[in-house]
Amino acid sequence: MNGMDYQSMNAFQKALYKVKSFFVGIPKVLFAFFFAIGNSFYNFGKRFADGDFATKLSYIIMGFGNAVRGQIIKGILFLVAEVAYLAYMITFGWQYISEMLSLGTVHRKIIETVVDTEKGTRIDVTLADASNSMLIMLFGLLTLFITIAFFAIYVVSTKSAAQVEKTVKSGKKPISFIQECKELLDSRFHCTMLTFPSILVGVFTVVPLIFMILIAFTSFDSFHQHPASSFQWVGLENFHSIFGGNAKKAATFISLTKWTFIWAVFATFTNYIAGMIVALMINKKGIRFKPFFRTLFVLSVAVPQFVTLLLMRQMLNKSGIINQAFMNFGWIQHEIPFLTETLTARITVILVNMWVGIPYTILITSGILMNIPEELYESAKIDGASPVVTFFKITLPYMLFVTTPYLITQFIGNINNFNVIYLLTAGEPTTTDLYNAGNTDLLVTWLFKLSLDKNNYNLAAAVGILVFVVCAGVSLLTYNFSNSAKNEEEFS
Amino acid sequence: MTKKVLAVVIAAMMIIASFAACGGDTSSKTESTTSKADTTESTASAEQTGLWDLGGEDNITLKVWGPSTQQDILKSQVDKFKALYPDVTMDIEVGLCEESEAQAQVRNDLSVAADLFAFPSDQLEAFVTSGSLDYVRNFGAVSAANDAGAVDAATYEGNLCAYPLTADNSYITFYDNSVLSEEDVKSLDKMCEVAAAAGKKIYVNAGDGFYACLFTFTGGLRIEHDYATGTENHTFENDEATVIATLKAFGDLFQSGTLVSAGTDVAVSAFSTDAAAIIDGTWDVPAIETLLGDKMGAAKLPTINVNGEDRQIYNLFGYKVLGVKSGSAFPNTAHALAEFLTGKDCQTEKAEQFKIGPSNLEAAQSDVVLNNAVLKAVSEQAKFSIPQKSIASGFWNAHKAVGLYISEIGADLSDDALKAQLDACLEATNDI
Amino acid sequence: MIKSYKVKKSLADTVIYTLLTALGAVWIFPLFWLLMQSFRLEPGNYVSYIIPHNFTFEHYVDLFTNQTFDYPRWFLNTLFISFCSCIISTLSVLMVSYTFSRLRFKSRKFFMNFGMILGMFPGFMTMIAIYNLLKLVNLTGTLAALIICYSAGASLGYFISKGFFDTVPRALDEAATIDGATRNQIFWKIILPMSKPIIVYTVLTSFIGPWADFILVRIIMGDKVDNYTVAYGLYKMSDDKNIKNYYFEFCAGAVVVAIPITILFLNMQKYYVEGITGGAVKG
Repeated sequence: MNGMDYQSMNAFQKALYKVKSFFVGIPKVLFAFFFAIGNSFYNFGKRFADGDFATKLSYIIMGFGNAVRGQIIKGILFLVAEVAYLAYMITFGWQYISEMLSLGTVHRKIIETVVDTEKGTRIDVTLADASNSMLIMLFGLLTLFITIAFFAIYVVSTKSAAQVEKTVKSGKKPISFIQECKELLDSRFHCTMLTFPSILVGVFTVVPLIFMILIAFTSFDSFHQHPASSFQWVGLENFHSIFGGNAKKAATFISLTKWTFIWAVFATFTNYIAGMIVALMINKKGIRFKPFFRTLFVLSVAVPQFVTLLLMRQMLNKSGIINQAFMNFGWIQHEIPFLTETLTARITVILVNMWVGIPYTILITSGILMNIPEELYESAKIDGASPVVTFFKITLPYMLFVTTPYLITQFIGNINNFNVIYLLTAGEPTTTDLYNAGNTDLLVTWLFKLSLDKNNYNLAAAVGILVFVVCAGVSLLTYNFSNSAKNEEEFS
Repeated sequence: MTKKVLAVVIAAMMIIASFAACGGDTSSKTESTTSKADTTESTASAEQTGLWDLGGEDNITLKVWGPSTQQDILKSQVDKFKALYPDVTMDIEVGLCEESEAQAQVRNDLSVAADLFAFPSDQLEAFVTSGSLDYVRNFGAVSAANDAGAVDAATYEGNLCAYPLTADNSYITFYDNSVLSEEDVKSLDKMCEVAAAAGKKIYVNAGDGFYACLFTFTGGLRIEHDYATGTENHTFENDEATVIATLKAFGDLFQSGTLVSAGTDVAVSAFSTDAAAIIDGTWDVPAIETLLGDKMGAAKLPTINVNGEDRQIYNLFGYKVLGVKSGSAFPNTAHALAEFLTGKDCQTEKAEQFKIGPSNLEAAQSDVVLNNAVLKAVSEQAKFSIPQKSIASGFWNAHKAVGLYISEIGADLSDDALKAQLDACLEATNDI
Repeated sequence: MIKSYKVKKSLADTVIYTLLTALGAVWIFPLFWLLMQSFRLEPGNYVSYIIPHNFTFEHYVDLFTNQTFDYPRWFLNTLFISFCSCIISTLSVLMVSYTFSRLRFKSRKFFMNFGMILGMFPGFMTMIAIYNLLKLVNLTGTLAALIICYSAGASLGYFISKGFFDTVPRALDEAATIDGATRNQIFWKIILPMSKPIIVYTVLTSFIGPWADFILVRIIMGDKVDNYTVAYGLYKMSDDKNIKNYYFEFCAGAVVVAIPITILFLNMQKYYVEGITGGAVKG
């Protein structure tokens, strides 16, 4: 299909085409991935076969080839990495890796008890605690991570040895250590820039994440905790219980997923549209005191969110100031159950979320709103369009076009919006139909309650994975459809 | 080349990791910290000398957790304990951890938990099954010294697992005696009548399972914990219909608007506005006294009129217990300290200062306790209560749901609707 | 004709003024109420009036002299953590986003997508793992642990500043390259000086983070009350058990936290807006 065909399609066809090309693209990517792996293995072997003695020896003693050919510092660095890795593996690493499959062999804490019934005394001596499966898994994973990193270095070192052999044989001087350091600031600057952040992310985000993903396939719950007992691999059991194996958990999952979506849609678009309208009002020509009005709204951004949310919770309480005031004014007879009745509570959290979110929208959209070409409005005015029509026909489409990435992040953010729900209603009102959840609980707050109240880490991890699948699905689709992804190079 | 830098960094990481793994390794395999020879005689002689044998432990470091309100008294009691052993070097830290939060902290990481921590007795099962407790050593003496109910609540599978600390984890009526008389607070219906006439309200926290279970318990629901499955077996003192009728009676009072459901923070605060009486625990006595002063009255829970018959309101009666952490580095001292802190003197002192009901029998007979209106009400109510032993974790939410249902204005209080609520509640109690 | 247009316009303006004033009142009311509560002398957490009958400064004094809840210490902790983590976060965000925006290398797309995917897992899913990793290096219960937690994942939020760098014309880099500048020099000497809005934006957001988190602190600090941050300390004051005794201190504490952040935010607002509109949205 060429560009012309694509241009002539209608929007729906375009969308379908994009979906199709996205899925068609998957095997291609996979193929390229495996091809690259195969290729690197081939090159790895070929370098060995082609190399001379020093290069071949570098496959066992890392850095040897570099060292004998004058790159002494580099050679030593390779050797240090190898020695350190081997030392680590022999002393600790091996033990953790080997236990990964069983997650520990001592399943129960072993206690020896001496009881003197006459005197009424006893002594318990712990002979052995149950294996700490969690630490075994975490350290095993860390070791695995280190091993992968080491093999990357290993491959690089063999490559480097072959490279330096070639340089020397062609009669040139091998590149010095200082020169290489200089390269790091220029042609290889990306390595310098990414190393430090990557290590931080790798250790504190990737490893924990993989750990938690693995937890979803184990029996790690309140009954399988150190030191009383270890836990084991259970395969897909946790997912099975969410998808119907346990009727109540399944019902809870479905109910919460529905509400999470409703919430995310409303929370995102109410903030977006209402925020834009307020921004338009503030920025309207001829309106005075603009900075004053803006500050009124922006002040609420500056106060930490949890403080304002806890305040709101108190104000919206049945005996809170809002109910009190309404009763004093004679507007209502009975207190409004802002946080305790399902529908009211759901509306309340969306409204409070507007209070929290609109100032941000004002901040972000003000500038862009000012950039909408004046001619568009002029012509609309000539056509006699009302402000409402102008908003929906001109402002909104323009803004949607420009701010799609922002909206996607907001949507994902709202699916994961923990603070508003947890601090305001804590998921209430509670109902017996759901498993350890209430009617305003989102999937994330459920996840949090499962791990904190019930220590049901395995189920929580499974829910976390499902939340991820939802988020990834939503953003992959919308992101691929939006224009921003393709325009990356626009300014380059 | 950058990859070389990467190599250095990773090598450094590995070295750090290997050092760290060293530390991690020891903690994952706890050795038996005491040899048996040391400890066998350590406990016996305490009664004769008034001192516990510390089994030769010295340079002791221990940590005790206590709630924010009791930090000072705990520190002074620890100092008294230290004074008993002038020759032994002890560093005993008093840490801050609310009793209700100890479980979360202990389960998160036992190794950094305090050596001694207090918790409500209904969580005993969780602490025992997670292997966090070292059982009471002088169980004979401790059992004899404490209230039978408290000992029972601290017992799991026949073993006394923790030291009884208080016998007051329940709730009673606190009232404004300028509005209600001693006679009024005997019946909930009368209370509502008088309060309504005075334009005031009665508060109960129906949105919390700890309080909300009074609705079903008053109707005759009884629960028994099944230790094998961790669930509750339900029985009815009379029959299901009585429970439903009782729920209806409570529901009707809620609908009238005089009995209202609110969190205890709201309820306590309402004494400055429209509360005639609230149902609350003794831990809020300081806050209530600030607001009411001399006008504060305390009584056991009232009766409620169900189908023309007065039924006494039942509540959940719990205990706080003090546990010794399993794997404590100084187990002998830890047990000695636990016995000291839960002993007669310390409990009496707490009763005096904080109106905390003692579990120790001698302390319970002291003048301080007998002459105190609040503690008297607590012990009177104890006769009409369900002991709070191990309880299935679904219990709280299940009862909260019932409480929220009947307290909501406009709730359907027909027999069928209430039966559906009750059935759902009983089922949800056993959601593990 | 012209007259009626003017009438219509002023009518519209009046409506807008009224609406804005009403909405502004809704937005400012909770903050005003908080301020009033913190000065109220009369006891009781819930009262039916807004302006206190008697004013007092006592709650602020209590807040700064309480033995159990050491607020001043928490405040300094938070300040220290914010300061350190904001330096690390800002550096790593800028480095990563610049790399992705300007440098072209083999695995760039992979890294970018990987970063995006990582950001989609619910954050606190990994709390116990992070706790145990920190325990491994003996950092649990320390301020350093929180600094690491708040800044380690920061670079995953590279989108906005990458968007900003994308808008800086490439011709600048090219001109500098011709003049013989290395990429390192271009980053520090040309790009960064031009990127004040996005730097301020990143600094601001990463500085505010520690003042708002109350979840990680709970896991990492446990019973180390001295090392709490203001956010968790206040959260603790406001739980069921403590709110009856610490309500006014909580309100006073909330006001005190809000002051520095409000001042900072209002002063930096301009850059915040420029940074985020430059980075988050583009055609």
